[in-house]
Amino acid sequence: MAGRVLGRRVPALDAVEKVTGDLRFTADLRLPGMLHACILRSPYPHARIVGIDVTRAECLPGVRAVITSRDLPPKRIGKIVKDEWCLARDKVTFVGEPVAAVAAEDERTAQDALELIDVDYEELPAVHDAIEGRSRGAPLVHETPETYEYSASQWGQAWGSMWFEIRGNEGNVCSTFKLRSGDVDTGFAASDLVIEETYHHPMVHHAALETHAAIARVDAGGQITVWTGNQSVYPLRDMLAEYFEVPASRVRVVGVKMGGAWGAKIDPTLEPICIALSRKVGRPVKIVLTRAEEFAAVGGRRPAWFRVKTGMMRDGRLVAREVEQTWTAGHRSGGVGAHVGHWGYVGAGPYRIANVKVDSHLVYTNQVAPRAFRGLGTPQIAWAIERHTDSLARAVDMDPVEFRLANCYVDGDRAPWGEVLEGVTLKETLLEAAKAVGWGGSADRGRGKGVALGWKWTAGGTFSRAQVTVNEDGSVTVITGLPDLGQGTETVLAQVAAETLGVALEDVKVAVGDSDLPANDMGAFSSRGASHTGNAVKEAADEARRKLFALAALVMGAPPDELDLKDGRVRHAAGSEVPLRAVLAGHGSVTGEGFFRGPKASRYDPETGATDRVCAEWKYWASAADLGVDVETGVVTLHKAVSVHDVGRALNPQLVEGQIIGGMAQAVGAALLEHVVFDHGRIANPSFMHYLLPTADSVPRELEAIMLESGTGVGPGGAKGIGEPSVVALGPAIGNALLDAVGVSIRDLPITPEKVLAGLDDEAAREG
Amino acid sequence: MPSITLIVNGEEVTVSAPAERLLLDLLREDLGLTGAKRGCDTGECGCCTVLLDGLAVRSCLSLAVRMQGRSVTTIEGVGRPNLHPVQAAFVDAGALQCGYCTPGMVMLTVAFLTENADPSDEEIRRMLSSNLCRCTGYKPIEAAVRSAAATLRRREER
Repeated sequence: MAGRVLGRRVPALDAVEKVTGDLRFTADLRLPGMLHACILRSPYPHARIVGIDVTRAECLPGVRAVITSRDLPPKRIGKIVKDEWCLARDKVTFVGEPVAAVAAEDERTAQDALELIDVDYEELPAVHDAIEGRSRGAPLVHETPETYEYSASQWGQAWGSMWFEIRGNEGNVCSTFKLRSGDVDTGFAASDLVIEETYHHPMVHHAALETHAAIARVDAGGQITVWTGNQSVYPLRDMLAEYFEVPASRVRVVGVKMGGAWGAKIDPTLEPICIALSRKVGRPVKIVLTRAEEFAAVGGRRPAWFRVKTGMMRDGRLVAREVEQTWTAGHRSGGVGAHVGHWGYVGAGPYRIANVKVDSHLVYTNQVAPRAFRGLGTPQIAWAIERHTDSLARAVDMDPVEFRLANCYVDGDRAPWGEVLEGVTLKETLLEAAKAVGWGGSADRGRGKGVALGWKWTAGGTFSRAQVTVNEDGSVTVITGLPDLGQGTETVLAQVAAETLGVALEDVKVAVGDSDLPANDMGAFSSRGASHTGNAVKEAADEARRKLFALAALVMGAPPDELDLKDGRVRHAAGSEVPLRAVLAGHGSVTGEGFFRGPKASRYDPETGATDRVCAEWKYWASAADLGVDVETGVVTLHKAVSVHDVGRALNPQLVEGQIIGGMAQAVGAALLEHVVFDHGRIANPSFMHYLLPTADSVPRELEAIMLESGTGVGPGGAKGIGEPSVVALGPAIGNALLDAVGVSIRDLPITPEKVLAGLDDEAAREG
Repeated sequence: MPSITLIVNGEEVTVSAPAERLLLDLLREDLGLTGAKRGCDTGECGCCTVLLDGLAVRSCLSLAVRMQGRSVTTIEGVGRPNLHPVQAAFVDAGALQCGYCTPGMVMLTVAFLTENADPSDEEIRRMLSSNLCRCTGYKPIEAAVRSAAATLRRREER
């Protein structure tokens, strides 16, 4: 559907300021009189705070303010459920939890002052992982979770009581979800064979190269301004206003561009501490995390455990599936309990199975709380379900592609909760992916291929507001609240405006991410930006165009519906034309407003999960991997990886490909290299020396992105959100390729040479 | 406090340099040149890459006091007023997303192509492996380096 501007390969509008280094990130900003702050963090996973003495720190020359929990409002904060202290109060619940903060003339002094703060701890027994947390008699991370409340922010309103219940949970379990369809016991009894396996996905870190940073300035009149890289500036503004009990108009969040985010930069992190310090001292305060702090204080992808049991017939038909998911909440849930439903709904995989039972549990632990990370649980689920799928195919001696084709959803299938799925393109993407790796080729030992399917939703009921102004000179200003994390949404929104208005892309400027702008937007998450905010921009541009034609009609003496805008001139069908400048003379500009709210999910039955709609849109895709294994060393070499995505419409193919290839590289990292190692609550590898990221020579030579355009998304021209999917299915495809290559089935990521060698030994022992 | 004189982007500057001061902090804090970024604190990510007498170095691992009389080029000293061919190639190839690693990647590439005008794909990958990028999957960066190399060679031939 390539239009004049939309659908074209266009480099990101901000690429030039990025290659010149002119773009300022939060750490690059300096305000007059600015102080630097550092945070004292808990050395214990779980301990009572008996006392804190800050007097010695306060006396250090250069120190301007020291704060503890007593300097903050006596309440918790959180996106959907408020269950976190900004500074620990009474007890600490993870290693790295902020306990006190110091603002000083320079960072060095602030750092030195931390050592002068005396905290008296009394250690408590700790919960080291979610499995332990679910066990009977486990220590409680939160003693009174039933007293917590939903946040008043957009998050709490959209998803709070809609998706989960704070009360009625037991022990450390803070949220549960049940999906029921048919009867699994009958299904298992009727099956020819039943296979049960367990899978584990550890924490992997976002590892955005920019660590978290924030600057706050509270002026003498109490006006709060925060500079921060955040994916959701309006919800952040509202959460800060709620927390500090001031009107939203007294808080301004200036969204600074982010050096990578992927979900890590949605929650309030340093902002409340910066504000409290600035308030106390009357000067701007900046905090920049070190890399070690980033690992300790910002949780990565959520560790999860899966028990998957499937009943099937000898011909490969699936009959029944039971899945038990155990998810790590960490020290606080922040309301991710709302996502337990998402994980439950997609928990059995995109396969036709008449009898389904999924139970998911979210469990508090004494670990840094994991955050949303690209794919929000689906990479973990796909790791379990898609690896399990290959075990099933093997058990009945079927080709894994054939097996999936025989069982996966097709258009019009009814999902276990009752929704009829439309626009399902799993088969198309799978066939394309298999073809791209030459499926069915090599049978050499040590060389193997694997595939995996993916599906995910974009959350329902989120909104975006935008304005489009046509200026007197014909240039256009788009005002949006959708922060660009590097994925290029700013460019796509400019393309949407240019296409709708009939102006050149160079004439469009995008103003973004300042909560004082009139463009409330829930932000960049759940692959919603280009589609949702894209629709809002399109509506705003349409309205601006209508207003412009109403004015032009007067000037030209022609009916507005016979007018057209091209190359900065309004043209009448009869042949006359007038430059925009002449139309807008005396008016300054015209502005259109646009609003889009994604299709909303319906209320579900808490006993079965039944409902007719669960999200704004579904996306479908498939990945494939071709790899070699060195059987002497256990080293896996990926030769080629492919991901085939139904992107709806590629609004800017260069940027869409960028999202797919970039996500695939992250998937390769999670599959083969990355793992945040917890040792008694402490992270043992909080640096890039010990936490390995993919490099240019460890990603496969060939990383291929293939885009199918079904036109079935909710975005402009039928575009679907594509930010998250690419990170999901490649990991299990790699695991399946390993199985194909050497018969080793690894169920606990990452796939390290040690695990491969151990698997080869087991294999040899079985055969021997 | 000892003071040192060095050349930064062609201009002589004199700054005081405490013994533990890093070149990265000298550039960012004292000179306000924030193009070089801090990504890891320990020399693994390469976001702070600058040229020291023409060679790519990690400014977070270089002590300021050792810069006496030496020449440092940062991203601010490249491609002004017009983009350097390496920068132009990064823009065209979509070799960046968030842009945080980009100044370091550009400096690394500028130094590399000065030494090796016609690198093989393997050499490009090995060179890029010294810096981290979390967004792009490196493929568009590899393409940008190839394209910049070709542009620079054509320019040489003229």
